[in-house]
Amino acid sequence: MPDSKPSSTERPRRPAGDDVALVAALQARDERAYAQAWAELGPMVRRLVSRFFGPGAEPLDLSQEVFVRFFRRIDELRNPEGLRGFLAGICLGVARNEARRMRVRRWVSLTAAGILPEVAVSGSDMEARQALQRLYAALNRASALDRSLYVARYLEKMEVEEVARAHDLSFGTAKRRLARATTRLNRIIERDNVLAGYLDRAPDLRRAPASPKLAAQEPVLQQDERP
Amino acid sequence: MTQPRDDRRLKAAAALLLEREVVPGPAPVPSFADLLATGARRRRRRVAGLGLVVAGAVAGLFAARLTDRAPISYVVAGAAAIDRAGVEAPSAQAGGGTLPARLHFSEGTEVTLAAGGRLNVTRRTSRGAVLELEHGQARFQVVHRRGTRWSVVAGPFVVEVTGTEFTVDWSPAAGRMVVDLKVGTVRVGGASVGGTVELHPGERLVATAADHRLTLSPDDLSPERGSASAADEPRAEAASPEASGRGAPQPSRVVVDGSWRRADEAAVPPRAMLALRSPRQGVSPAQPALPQPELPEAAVPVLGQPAVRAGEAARGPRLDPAPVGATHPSPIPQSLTMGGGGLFCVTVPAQYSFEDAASGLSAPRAYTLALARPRVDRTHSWCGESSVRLDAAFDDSGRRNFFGRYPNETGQLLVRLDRPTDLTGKTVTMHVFVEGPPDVRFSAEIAAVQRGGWASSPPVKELAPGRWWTISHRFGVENPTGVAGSSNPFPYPTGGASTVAETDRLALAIHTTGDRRAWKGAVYIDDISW
Repeated sequence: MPDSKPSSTERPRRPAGDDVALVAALQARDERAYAQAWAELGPMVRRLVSRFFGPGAEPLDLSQEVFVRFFRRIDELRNPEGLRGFLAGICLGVARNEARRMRVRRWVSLTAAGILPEVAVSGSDMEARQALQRLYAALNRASALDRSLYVARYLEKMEVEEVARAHDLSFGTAKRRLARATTRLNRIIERDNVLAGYLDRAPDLRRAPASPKLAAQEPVLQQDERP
Repeated sequence: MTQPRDDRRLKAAAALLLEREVVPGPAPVPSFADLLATGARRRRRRVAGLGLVVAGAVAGLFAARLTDRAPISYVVAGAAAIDRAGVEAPSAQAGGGTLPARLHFSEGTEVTLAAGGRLNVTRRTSRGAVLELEHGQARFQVVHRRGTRWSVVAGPFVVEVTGTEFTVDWSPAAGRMVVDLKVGTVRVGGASVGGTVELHPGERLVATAADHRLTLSPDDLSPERGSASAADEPRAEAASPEASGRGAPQPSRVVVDGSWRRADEAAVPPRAMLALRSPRQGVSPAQPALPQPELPEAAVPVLGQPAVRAGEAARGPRLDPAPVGATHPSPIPQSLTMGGGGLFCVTVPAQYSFEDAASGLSAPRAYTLALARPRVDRTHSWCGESSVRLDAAFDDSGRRNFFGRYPNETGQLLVRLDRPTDLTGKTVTMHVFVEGPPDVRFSAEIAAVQRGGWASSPPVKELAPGRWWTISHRFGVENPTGVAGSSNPFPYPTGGASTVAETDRLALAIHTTGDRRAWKGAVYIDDISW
């Protein structure tokens, strides 16, 4: 087992009343509310950005952009209790745009070749270190939307409904796209034998039952009659 | 079954990432008031810049349109007599040689007028021209551009062009036009067309005013080979060797007949455009065709006669005695229902003419049920005095069949052949007339059945009732057993191809395609030839 300290994947919940007050202050363009929002919601945004881009990302710059957009669009938020989902949606949108821009930059210039910096992993689990490096490389090859869906569903542990809201999709479309993204990401992972082997060997997950939420509905062939 | 494994793997990947995630620390508060103000300024500048770009583009387009408004010009090269708007290529030189005349248009289009031909440039615009081929043969190489509009008028026919290479041969004395299309697409309209017919590369259209006929065929299969003007005047060779070069033969053809009106009659509203296309599918790799389940066949009813005896069924559909003609009122004039084939009947003998009482005819009693009770009828005919009539009742009731079709959506006539027949490389032609509400649309397709393996033609779509249609298909050595859009769209039972070397049955399927799903009427089928 790797000896690094696992980070919490629990999303800290604030009392709903606090969010309502914060939204009211932001909608009133209160500058103190900007600082408060940054302090309270900033870690969530920076975590989301760094989960999306992996090591070497500049979460601070992107977080600023996320918050600028968030403040600009705060009037669109009808239900203050959905503040975090709303912010996560903006954050994933900014991240997707940035990922697309990075891809274009990679095409037009050979400098940023998409080579990820060494992953900072404490401890001596070299295999995990190598797998992580390869995993980031694999995610880097996925499309911005697939990556965004993956981050939302698997890393942020959002429900499909929340994923749909964050991506401005209907529930059904989100479900379909999640299934498609899962297939595509797996295809990318499968091309890397080392990574695929490592993930398949993960002992605790091999025993875990598959999530019924993500299992795609297999089409039922309607064969009523034969000619 | 891969989904749970995929999901498991992605969860393992997520666990790997989360276990080693570096938690971001606190960060200084940016000056959001400044950032928001800067963003607003940048947005305003961006909008202003975009406005300038749009204004520039609009001005550029306007200028381009102004400069593009001048009509195209042309120069004439080669031996040609020019008078006003007409160009005439001399018939023959003293030494017997022939020289074409060439028209070079300023936008790149070239017209080569074969010796002996005459062409008028009746109208020129910035987008093209209207050319009138008075007589003779001309080859057109029209350069395609956005909005290009070229028309070639030959007697009562009009060929509309967007960008293509084709030859038009028009003989006013014989009233015959031949269009050979080499590249691109053209639409032919005019007197006998009743709408427009679209030609695709490698196809030949022969239109004759004398017998009110319009024939569309792969040009190597055309029953009316040769140039239009060959019959009535000595004429020169085509302007270029390429003009006689033929594309790859297409495996099917469609002949459109009937619905004739004279050129001086008032124009009728055009029909929906006919989608008459040669199939684009390649032949699937050969696979042994497994026998298909036999469709139960109805006993062959003959009007006024006792039921056909079991032993007679194998003799094919030409049995005596002649049936008594069925009488039922039809709103369609007899000129359209009887003798639709005209002179065609003299030149192309049919293997099955249905002039007498027939056996070996049946309509399936399972899966495709829209047609029933085949019998000889004397109210409609393509050639001769009778045809096979089937009662038609189309609707979307019932359960979908294996192919996703409702049973009453499609109907078929099955014709058991006299003997196993080799149809390889042969073009099977059938003629069909549908009587029904005028807004009905249907498709038709031919199938050859060999020991239960069905080889279908692509469906000829958007056909309308009230006229005779000729449906043809050329069968190759190996024919796909599943044809997209046909009543047999999926390769069944095991896919692949079927040969037609020992065809035992032929089928014609009618499938209702239009908005009107439920209708009743009659289907007449006549003269099967190959």
